[in-house]
Amino acid sequence: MRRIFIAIAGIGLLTAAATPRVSGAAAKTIMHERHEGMGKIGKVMKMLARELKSGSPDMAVVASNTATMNALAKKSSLWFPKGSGSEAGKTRALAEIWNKPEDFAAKMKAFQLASAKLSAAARSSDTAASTAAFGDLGKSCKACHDPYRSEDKN
Amino acid sequence: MAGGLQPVWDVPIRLFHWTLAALIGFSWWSATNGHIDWHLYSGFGILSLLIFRLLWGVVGSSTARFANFIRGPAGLRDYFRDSAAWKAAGHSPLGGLSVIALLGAVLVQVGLGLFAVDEDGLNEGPLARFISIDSSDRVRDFHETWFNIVLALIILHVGAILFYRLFRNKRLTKAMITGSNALEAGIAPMRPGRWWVALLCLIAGIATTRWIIAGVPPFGG
Repeated sequence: MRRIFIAIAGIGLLTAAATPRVSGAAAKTIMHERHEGMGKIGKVMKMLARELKSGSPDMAVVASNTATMNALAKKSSLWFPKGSGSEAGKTRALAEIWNKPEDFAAKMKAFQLASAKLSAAARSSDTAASTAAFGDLGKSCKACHDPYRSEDKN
Repeated sequence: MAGGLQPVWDVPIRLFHWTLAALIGFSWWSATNGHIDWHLYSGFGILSLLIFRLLWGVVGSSTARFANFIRGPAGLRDYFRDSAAWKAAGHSPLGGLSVIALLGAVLVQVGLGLFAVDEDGLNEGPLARFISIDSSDRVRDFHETWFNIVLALIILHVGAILFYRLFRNKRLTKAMITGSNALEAGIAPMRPGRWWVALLCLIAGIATTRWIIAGVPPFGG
C-alpha cells in the first residue's frame, strides 16, 4: 500500500502542472537548478552530436553521455513548478508553460521517451539506431523550445 | 563622350547586391524564429556570394573592381575637401569605404557562423569540430553580438542613400536596380567585364563553399 502511494506520488510529481506552487527562495532555487540542468543537457547534446557525426563514433562515449542525458531528462519534470516563471526572476521560460499544462507535459514526456530510446540504442552499441534516435531527441527539444522558450536572452 | 544615362553597375553586381540583402534579412529571420537549418543554408549562400564578390572585385567590370574605388587617406582627404570634384562612375571614395566595411563585417559574421554551435546542439557550422564545444558556444555568442555591427553598418548604408536622395538629389537605389545613372559628358561609363568570367567567379564561390560545408577535406580527418 505504502509502495503504491509512493508510486502515485511519483507520477504526480512527474507532471509539471501537478507540482505545488513555489515562491520566494524555493522558486529561485528550482529556477537555478532548471537553468543549470538545461545547460548540461545542451552540453551533452553537443558532445553526442560531435561523437555521432564523427564517422567512427565511440559508442562507449555515446552510451555514457546518453546515461547522463537520461538522468537529466527524468529530473526535468521537477523543473517547472508553478511560480518558477518570470515572477521568480530572469528566465526564458514563457508563461505559456503554465497556461497549457497538458500540452507542455505531453511534450516533456515525448522528450523523456526520446532520451530513453537513445539510451537503449546506445547501450546496444547500435550506431545507426543511435543516430536516428538522436535526431528524434533533437526534434523533441525543439518541439518544446519553439513555443515555450523566449528567444530573448537578455 | 556622350552624357545622359550610362551603364554604372553590371548585372552580376546588381544580382549580388539584392540577393545578399535578401539573404541577410532571411538569415536574421530564420535565426530568431528557430529555423537554424535554414539559417545555415542562408549563411552558405552568403558565403558563396562573398567569394564571388571578392573575385569579381579583381577580374570584373570596372566599377566592381576594388582597385577602382579603394582610396587611401589622401584620396579620402581630397574627397572630403571637395566632394563635388569627384565625378567618376561607381563608388565614391567614401562609398568605397562603406562597401569594404559592409563586405568585411558580413565576412566576419559568416566566418564566425562556420565555427558556431547552436544553443541546443542541434546544428553546428561545418568547421565547429575544429574547436572545442565551449569555444563554439562562445563563438555563437560573438556571432549574435557581431550582428549588431552588421546591422549598424546597414542602417548607415541606408541612411547615406536617404541623405543623398533628400539633400543631394541623387537616386542611388534606382541605379542599383536599373544599372544606369546620369553621368556628365566626358565621364567614362562602366567598362563591363565578361559574362563567362562572372559565371566562373560564381562557380568558384559555390565550389569553395561546398568544400567548406564538407569540412575542408582532407584536413582534420
